[in-house]
Amino acid sequence: MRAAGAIARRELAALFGEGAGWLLLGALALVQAIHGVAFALDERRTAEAALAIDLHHAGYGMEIGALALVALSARDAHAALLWRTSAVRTGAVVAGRLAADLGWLALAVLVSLPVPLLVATSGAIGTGHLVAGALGLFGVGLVAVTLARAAVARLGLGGVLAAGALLGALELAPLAADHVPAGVRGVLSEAGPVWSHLDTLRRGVVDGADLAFFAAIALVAVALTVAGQEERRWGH
Amino acid sequence: MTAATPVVAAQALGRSFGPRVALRDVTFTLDAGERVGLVGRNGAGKSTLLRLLAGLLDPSAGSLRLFGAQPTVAPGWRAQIGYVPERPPVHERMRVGAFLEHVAALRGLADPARAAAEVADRCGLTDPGARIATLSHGYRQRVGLAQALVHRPQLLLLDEPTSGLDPVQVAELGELLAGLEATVILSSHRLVELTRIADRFLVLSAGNLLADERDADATRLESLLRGETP
Repeated sequence: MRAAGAIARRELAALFGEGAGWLLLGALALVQAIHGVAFALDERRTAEAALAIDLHHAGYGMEIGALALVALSARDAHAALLWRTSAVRTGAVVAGRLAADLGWLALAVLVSLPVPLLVATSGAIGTGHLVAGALGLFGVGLVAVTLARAAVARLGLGGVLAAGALLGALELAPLAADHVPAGVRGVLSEAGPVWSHLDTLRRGVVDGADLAFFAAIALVAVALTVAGQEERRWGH
Repeated sequence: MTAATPVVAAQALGRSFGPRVALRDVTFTLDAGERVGLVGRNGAGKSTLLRLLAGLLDPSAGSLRLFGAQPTVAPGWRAQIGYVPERPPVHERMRVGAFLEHVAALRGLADPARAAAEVADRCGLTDPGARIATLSHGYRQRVGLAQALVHRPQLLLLDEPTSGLDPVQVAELGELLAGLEATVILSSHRLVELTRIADRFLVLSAGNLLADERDADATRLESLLRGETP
């Protein structure tokens, strides 16, 4: 537990001490600020429609930010060697990094909410809608970061690209549904599960099944990360 | 582990990386408190042997027992080992004291701050507030050594610890190691300095254990490396 805490603190300190963490958060905030201006200038859209579009785009930001976070962290070979030479258990390493990731994701959700906050202050949506959207963004980021960690544990730094490709394929699969035989159409339509669960939440509906989906994917990915790191424990 | 149990018992130990054999058929035992110099030309297998002992590699052949247990089966013994690779794994942006405290926490020590302060004192790290990135090579080597000593290991493994150190720093390293109760294994190309620190020498050549000598001098070790002495 102490080792996991030390790893979490050090990961966050390295991320923000070197400026990369602030840079990622700044990029997310900038994109959201542009969205905020566009929302303010566009009188044709309803508040709810603008919010749904904004949260959808913020979801992309969470995914890209999460992948960048994992890539930055995975570059630090010194940290990995120190953990191995310090006899830190694999579970503690994974738990520590996960805690740091969750901390960063929480901050990323906060900077992704200017438009929803703007809409909420105008009275167009309720606090519950805002919370649901935030939960959805957190869930999307959680899935991205844990999948990327699992891929890196197996493939090294290239795992970030593999995770990005997987998330991209999941996003694009439903678009191809209209162009394939009926037999596989249903499968492709459902192949974007991350986004379909975010869609429910960004409409302001907090469904336990959506939250359970994000948590289940994250748990499986964490288990794969532990297994992958154990396999790579005896290095080459 | 009983008092008579060897700290290290290697039996026909071997390690390959794909088709390349880095270490083959190496057999030796080390008792508690020994100071062992690991000697060999580049590529002889010194670092591979140290990484096997550190529990960072598993053997491809033979068996290895640390403190009477197989490290791959009972990895808990790794907690009794301190290892300093040729490039010590230090976080350069951290300050010396904070880094050592961090390592103590990684090791799960009850009072990381106290352990860090003690090891800094033992290793002569007089400026715990200094950033590691700003330190001289010799001072940074000391930080690397301190991170390996923070938990008071019973077996200390040092890969080229004298690399880049001036003669005075080498002498100070020798004094520091002489004050330890742990079994120490260190590799070095600096034979004269090594003979002042170690009293037993394992000579490796092309992955084979060429000689296991006690109280050899630098001339004898160099002859062994040149293949001039049977």
